[in-house]
Amino acid sequence: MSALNSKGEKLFQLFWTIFFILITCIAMVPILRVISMSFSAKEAINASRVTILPIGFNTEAYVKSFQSGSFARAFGYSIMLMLASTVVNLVMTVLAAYPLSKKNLVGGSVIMTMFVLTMYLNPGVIPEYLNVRDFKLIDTVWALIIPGALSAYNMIIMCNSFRGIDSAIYEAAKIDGCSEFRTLTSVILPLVYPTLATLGLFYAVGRWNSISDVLYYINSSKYFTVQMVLKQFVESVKISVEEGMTSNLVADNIKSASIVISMLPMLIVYPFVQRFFTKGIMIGAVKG
Amino acid sequence: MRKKSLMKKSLALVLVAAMAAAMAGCGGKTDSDSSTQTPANDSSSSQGESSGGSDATEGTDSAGEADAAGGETAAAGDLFGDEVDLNVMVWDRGDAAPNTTTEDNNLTKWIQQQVKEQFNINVTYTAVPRSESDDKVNIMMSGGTSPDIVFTYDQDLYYNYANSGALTDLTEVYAQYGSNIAKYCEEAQPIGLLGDARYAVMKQRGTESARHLSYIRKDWLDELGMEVPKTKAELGEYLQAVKDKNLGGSKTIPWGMSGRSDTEKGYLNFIGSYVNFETPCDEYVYNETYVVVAPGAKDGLKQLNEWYNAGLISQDFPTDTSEDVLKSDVANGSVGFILDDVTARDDQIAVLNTEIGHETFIPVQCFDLPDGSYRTPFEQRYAMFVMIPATVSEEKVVAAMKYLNWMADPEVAVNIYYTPEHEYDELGLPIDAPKEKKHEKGYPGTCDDLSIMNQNFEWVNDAALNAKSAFMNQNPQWATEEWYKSRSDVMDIGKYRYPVFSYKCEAEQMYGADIKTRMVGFVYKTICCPADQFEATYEAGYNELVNAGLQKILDGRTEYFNSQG
Repeated sequence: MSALNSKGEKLFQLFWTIFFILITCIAMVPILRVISMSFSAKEAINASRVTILPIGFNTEAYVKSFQSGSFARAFGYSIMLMLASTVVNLVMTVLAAYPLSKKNLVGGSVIMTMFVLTMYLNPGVIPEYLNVRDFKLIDTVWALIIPGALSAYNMIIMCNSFRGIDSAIYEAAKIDGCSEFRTLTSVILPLVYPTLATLGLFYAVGRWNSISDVLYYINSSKYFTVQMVLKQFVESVKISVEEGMTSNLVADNIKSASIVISMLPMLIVYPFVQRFFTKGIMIGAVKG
Repeated sequence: MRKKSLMKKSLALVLVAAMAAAMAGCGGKTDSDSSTQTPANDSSSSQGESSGGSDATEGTDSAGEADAAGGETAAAGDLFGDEVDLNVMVWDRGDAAPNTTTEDNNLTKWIQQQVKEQFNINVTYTAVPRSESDDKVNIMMSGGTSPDIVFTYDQDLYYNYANSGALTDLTEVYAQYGSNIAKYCEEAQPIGLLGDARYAVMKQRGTESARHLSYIRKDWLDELGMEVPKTKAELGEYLQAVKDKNLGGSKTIPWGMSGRSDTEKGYLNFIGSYVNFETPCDEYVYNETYVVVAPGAKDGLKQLNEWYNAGLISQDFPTDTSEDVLKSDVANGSVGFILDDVTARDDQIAVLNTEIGHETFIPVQCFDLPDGSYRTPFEQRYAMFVMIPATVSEEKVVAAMKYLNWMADPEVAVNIYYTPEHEYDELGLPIDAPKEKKHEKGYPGTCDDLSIMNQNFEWVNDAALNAKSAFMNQNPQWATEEWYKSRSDVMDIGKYRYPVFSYKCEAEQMYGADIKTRMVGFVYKTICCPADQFEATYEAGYNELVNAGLQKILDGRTEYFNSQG
């Protein structure tokens, strides 16, 4: 890292550092509030006294969250679904991107155009539903994996990162007798692992947060994801107005604990994958 | 080879996209077709609910009974028929017991067993997430994959379905198999009729309740030497006195308001009290949704604007969308008066009472009408529209009606609502066990979601008994039995229900939802603007509403009411 030479540069650096620390603090406030509510006593929450520090510290909400059959089950299921879905996504992306990265692929540009078209043409909810229904995927886990198995945008990033690898490496592999598949798995993929890791994170976060496909395609509550269960908790107050009742509301501390638990997987994974972010995206940015 | 297979995969993907895109065209057309369809039954009459007066049930006539009595009622022996599979929608709130699901738990098993034994019906359930219920029902109805029984609270959705032929006409099957519904849920049934045809049976609500209620600090009134206000003028004096004497400390807020954008609860009863309904037509046209634009309502807005500018109402309350500030202010003892959903602030009042050590807020009705009387709008007696899609076969429609009719029996409804293993308290009322206890026995957290017809148990409107029960079951002890009793007494002052019809005019279908949201913003803006800009803000806001379709809606409603003779 180059040293900061002038006073001006130092001031510049200082200003932006403080600025971004402030922005981070502002962004952290709602998260800290949810965390402190999850550890606070019900009475303090009802009186709306909890800000960023817990009042009446206790962990009862976490115990209760996991005692609720739906949440605990949905949490485990969502993690499995996210892993399975990410693996399928990455395999599909790599297998589509690799041949399309080859300059000599016959009709490559036509196929690529067709992929790009899918980014612009959105069929709409009902046609997509009818499509999934006709493939007999309604109320199966596959309805959450197959329709979104490949993102054209991510595939293009992957494709560019393959193109960024020196052609001499491909030739060397060929001379050493590697088949295309072996070249891909043993030579090329290790070179693009930052891109792979980044796209994997994109896919995983997308799957973890996605709620609409669960709503549309799933009819059995055992296949509801954690986000779906969470939504029922979070919107229980709004619903009670419609129903004209106030009983059976989900307590705010349990709601908060559930939100915190559902954030955990992402919070744990992000720091490990973050270092690949810039590297991964940039690999595909400039053709070598 | 690999290239070829990839090519195939790619082409398959493109084909899928193309098919989907082609279908998008069809789907879009169907949508717009149904939304612009002209009501088929324009001129035919619909049965409305009660239209005012102190006797709220008056005027419901006995459409339900007449309906059911019109046909030949099935004898008990006829009810056990051929084996039928029936799939019923059930709301999922994410609160199933461990190792069970919303569709498969000890309560569903009990229902399945009962219905199998009595009617030879095999019931299964489809879980629909509660907060996304209408979207999900829409999708399933469009895709032809809906359960045999679906339901919604949304009258527009019901009207759209009924009007576009998406629902089974239940008139005959209800007459033949709906005797329990007609008997025990009678008050709720009229709205399920569209013209002479019934497209929905209605769940009947339990305890009658006002939509909103005001509360005032009794201890502050005593401190000020004032009586409980009976008029808006007296309320104004109280609010000013609270402000002058800073009874809530430096942060005194005489009238605490919040800024929820999805409900008009914080101001509706007050503004409504400035409106004098001169004709029954006015009552229908300017019902709860449109009362803030009724003749006279402007005076109410102006009064609130004056009070806001005099510092008598929470400053910048529209920004408190989550109500956190209001909750905190009430619990901390800064607020002197609130208008809210009936039980919405109980938790905060409980905290305040417990900390101060004596009674604070008491229910009050002081929104006098121009003629000196009162009007307290009450919840309608119906809850959900329970519907059977048109795609359901005839034998399943019969099975569905048997199922619903069985469920309308109060004894059955109690067994579902309170679980079949319910216990009774010392007052003889069934105990609604806490969620943890229900979970221990394998029942879902919200058993009521499986009881989709009847909440109208025999004791639900026994005010004295309910007050006693509420007093006994409170935790912590924060209010006396008399306090609970006074709550139902105050609610009953000027008890009133707006007239309703299942019909929705075209303009209301098109602009209604948008106008409703805009009106909340309109009210907030006019309350909070500087006093000298009130007229300009009001005019600008009102014109904006008119441009967004308000006048068309009001005209459409007037026209419909007049067409009913």
